Amino acid sequence: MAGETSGLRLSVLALVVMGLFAALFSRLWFLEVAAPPDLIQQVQSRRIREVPLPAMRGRITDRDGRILADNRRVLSIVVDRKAIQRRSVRADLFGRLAGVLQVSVEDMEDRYSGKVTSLLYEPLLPLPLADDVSEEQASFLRERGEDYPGVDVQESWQRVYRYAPLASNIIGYLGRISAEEWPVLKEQGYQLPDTLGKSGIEKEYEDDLRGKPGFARFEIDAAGRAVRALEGPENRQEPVAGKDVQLTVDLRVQQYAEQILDTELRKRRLERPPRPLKPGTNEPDLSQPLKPLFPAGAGSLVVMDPTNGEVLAMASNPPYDNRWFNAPLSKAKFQQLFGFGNNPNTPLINRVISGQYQIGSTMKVFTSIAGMRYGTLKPTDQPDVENSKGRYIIPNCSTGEPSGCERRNSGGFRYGSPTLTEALTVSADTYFYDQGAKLYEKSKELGGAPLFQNELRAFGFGQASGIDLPDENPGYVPDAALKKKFADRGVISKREGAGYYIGDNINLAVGQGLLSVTPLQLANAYATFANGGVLREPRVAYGIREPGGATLKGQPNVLNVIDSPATRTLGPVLRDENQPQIDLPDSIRAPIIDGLRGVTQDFSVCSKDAPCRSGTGFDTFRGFDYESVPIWGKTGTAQDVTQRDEKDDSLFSAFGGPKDIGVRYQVTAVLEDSGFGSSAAALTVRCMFEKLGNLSAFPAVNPSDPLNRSQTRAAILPRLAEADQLCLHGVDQQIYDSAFGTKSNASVE
Amino acid sequence: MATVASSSRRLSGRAGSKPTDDTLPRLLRWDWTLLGATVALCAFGLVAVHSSQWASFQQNDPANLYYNVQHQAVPMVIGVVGMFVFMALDYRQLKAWTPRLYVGTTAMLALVLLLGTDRNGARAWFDLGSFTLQPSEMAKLTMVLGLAAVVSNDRDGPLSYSRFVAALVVLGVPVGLIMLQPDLGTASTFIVVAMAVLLVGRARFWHIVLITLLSGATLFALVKTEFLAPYQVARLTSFVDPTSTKIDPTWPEDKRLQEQRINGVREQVRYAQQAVSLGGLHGQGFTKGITMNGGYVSQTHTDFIFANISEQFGLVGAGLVLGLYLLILLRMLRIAQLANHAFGTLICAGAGALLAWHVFENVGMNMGIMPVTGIPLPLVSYGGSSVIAFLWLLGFVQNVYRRRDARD
Repeated sequence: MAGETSGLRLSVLALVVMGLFAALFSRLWFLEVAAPPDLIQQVQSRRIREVPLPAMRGRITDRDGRILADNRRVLSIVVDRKAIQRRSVRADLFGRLAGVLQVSVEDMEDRYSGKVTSLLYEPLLPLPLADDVSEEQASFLRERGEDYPGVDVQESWQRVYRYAPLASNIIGYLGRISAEEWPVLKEQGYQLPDTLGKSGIEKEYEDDLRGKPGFARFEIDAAGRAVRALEGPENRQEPVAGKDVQLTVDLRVQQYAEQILDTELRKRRLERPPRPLKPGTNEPDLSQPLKPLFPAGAGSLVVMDPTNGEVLAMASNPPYDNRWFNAPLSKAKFQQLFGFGNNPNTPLINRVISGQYQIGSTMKVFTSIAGMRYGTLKPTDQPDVENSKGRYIIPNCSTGEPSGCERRNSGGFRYGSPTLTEALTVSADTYFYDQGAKLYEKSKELGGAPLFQNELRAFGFGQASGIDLPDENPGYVPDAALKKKFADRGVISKREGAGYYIGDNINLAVGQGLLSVTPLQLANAYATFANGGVLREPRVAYGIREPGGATLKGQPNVLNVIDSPATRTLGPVLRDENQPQIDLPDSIRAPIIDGLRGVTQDFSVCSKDAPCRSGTGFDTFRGFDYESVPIWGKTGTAQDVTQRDEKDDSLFSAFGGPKDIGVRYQVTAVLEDSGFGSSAAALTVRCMFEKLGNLSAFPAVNPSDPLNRSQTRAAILPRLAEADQLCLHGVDQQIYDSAFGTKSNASVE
Repeated sequence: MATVASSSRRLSGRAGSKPTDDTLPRLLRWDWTLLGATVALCAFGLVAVHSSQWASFQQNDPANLYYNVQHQAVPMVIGVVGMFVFMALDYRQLKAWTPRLYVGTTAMLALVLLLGTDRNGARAWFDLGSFTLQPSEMAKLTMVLGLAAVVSNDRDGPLSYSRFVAALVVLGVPVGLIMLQPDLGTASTFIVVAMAVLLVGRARFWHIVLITLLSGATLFALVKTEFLAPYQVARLTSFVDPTSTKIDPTWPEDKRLQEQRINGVREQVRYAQQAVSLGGLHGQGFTKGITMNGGYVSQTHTDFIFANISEQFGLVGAGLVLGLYLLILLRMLRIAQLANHAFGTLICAGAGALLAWHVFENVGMNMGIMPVTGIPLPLVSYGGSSVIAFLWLLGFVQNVYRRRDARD
């Protein structure tokens, strides 16, 4: 090497190199040793992904353990997304799978490309190609894993309602999280693809049924692919299964209730007036089609135990099948099945807790109690309240009374001057109009206290019963405030809404006017009367049980409720702790009890100044074995404002039970637009009591056939056995068949 | 300073003729330290190339787990064989071959613009079926040789103008061709080599300043004339602030895609830094570096292999790699001092500058202190052309060492 300058310059180069490396080393030191902790944090959070592990939902059983809502193992065929990234591989695999799975290649491609939006894209989880495949298909693919790389069989759980459509209105259904619910549910640990109870028990006991979802943490790469599952308790938490809910409902009673309610409504719908005769002959005139007598579009039947508030059955008609909600339903199909929005008879309303009715003469029990309590009524008195036409004239009536000064009896009958017991048995309206008027005067006398309303509220009217089901309607009892509210809203005229008048109280005394009562409230009020005045919250859930209880030997559909451990029992619950019992001395109870007994039993009640009459339910209950099964009941016919008979709601409420066990049942039926309470509603109650009183056996309940998704009805109930059809005074087989869709129904429906 | 340098030369001159060296067969009289460090780096490189994409292969193509290693080992063997061949020949005789080598590679640089394949926005590769060839890597080798040949002058005194102009031409043609690819990173390595060779070759101070100014002006012109795509500009600038831009969905699609691409570059810069940080003192362990092994950063086995090494092996591993480079560089500069001919000195100086710049730029970009370019980490990054070029270059350096005592 020549020249010293080169040496010097090499040294300069060496210095530069040393400088560069010094910079690198110090930067390395800074990043690796003195690195800001938030940098590490930032990286940690990016590379960990949490995948929820759903908990198995708790089961729902009836009171005997029949598993109404269960979880079914579903086999799905999934494929690892990474295995099918290549187009050619995917086409080949899908092509070969199409035959095995009976799913088209296009369908699988759509799932892969995310066009099937219902499948939430979770890149960590394999892509589902076919849901709910058979065991054969699954094992075929399992055995040939080599030929189908990346394909796997995955097990998941699906809600299955074994006895559907029975009790669908009680059990309810599950649904996806809606946009409105999401902000709240997110806080409670729900994930977007989760389903949750949307109605019925599924909603009410969601917290118990849901269990506790677990999670697994994965380390992921930039593409969101799992690199490995992290271990340790902080990274993996197994889900905790949801608890089982045991209902108070007895499915045998429930099935029978649904069957008789549905059959009776159909019967009513198919009823025609007698054919007119051809003019001048004895031949019936066949030229004109007969219009149906009753729309009979909807109804309720509820059976409860008055001693503890347990609901044994709760039928709402039209029924629906909650299995419809287990799979995606097209909007058109939904409309066809449920007719939501334009159909007042939509099946999705549980009428027992949400239906609003005037209760007609079934109110008279409570009118009597109020009258006796405030001294306007003495049971033995025979007040003269009718004029010669059998009409009641409101005393001191001014022309300003909005609803007029005259009230007639339903059907235009004359009842003369009955005692309280007689008045209840024959349902003398005039007697109770008089009580309405007297209670109104008494109120005024006492400074305007709403005596009658208070009595009704004590029996649970005008407030939610507190049943453990969502969407209960509290109803209302009319008073000055309510009238004002309605007038302000334009529901009634300003003139009507100006005050609470004597006419309002008279209407209320016979269960008419601005009154809204749910069938359950009516049932519970009667139950309260029956048990001596204890108002309880009705219950459909008996208790909560630990998950995993075994089924009975040889009966895979029945949970062993005797041996499976209970978490807690839910009833009975007083409605109001501060008011444990309504004062119902014998002097008040006895005459009412007598009157209610007579409704079904008395052939001839001869009130003063009136022709003898039968109890309103006598005909319907003719031949009933009162000796073994004493019952007490009351008919009600709630008139529509149009005053047309065919639009009357038919009501009947009764309590009783087999002699040896006492008054353990309260049965209330409300059949919309079905005519007199004595006919339609009373008939269903009688049939129910024959079974409850062990006069004949309940039909057996069986798990249902799979839901036929091509059917056009929201539910097809099991058919009532022929022997049981007799109880409903026989059902014309031809009509029955057509009504049940087994034959063409175009001609009659 | 001059005294120090010259005295150390004398000292090492004695060391060079120490008995152990003489007892060795002539062929084996190479720089064992340099060779050891070279082999160690190559071995480390194979490990890093394997681990950098281990997770990805494990998942996507487990049958080919060793694909990268196999594909890297072949050029490494070619490189090592070539290295020994170039060690064995006399570098002074090779000087005569230099113009031919230079013209050959320059022609390839021209050809690649016509026949090459585009990759990452640059046309720099010949696709030869089972492997690709990057002529610009080979050009690095011939650039060192060419510049050393043009500048070397065993007489005293400053570099003549004619040699300086010749050097500028030798530098300019390949740089121009590479700018057209465009590959600013590689172009920058040529310029650095030229500056080092001119510095050691006793060029006038203002010559070096001139080259610096010319390079700066060219870069400015390239950016201003929008010869570079916006994301390519972003690669150069994002190390200053690697924060991603928030994409406004109302932007036109072109702009959105462009911004996404730029954000991709920024992300790469951020993730690489984070990966280095995650290494800590001992690293996350072999194949356990989740940022780099997890696929957040593309080019984990090429441009960003240092972050990868750092994340897996920590300060210890990354420091070892940097230490090996430093060792190699110091040996190269030492050999430059020992060389008996200016050509040898300049080869070593040019090769040293080339290596140092590669390491500084590549490691610097991995740690967020240098712009992102595509220049590899010598001997370690995946990529055959580069490994071959550097191994052969080291063969030349060894050659210079072996012939340090030879007289004309």
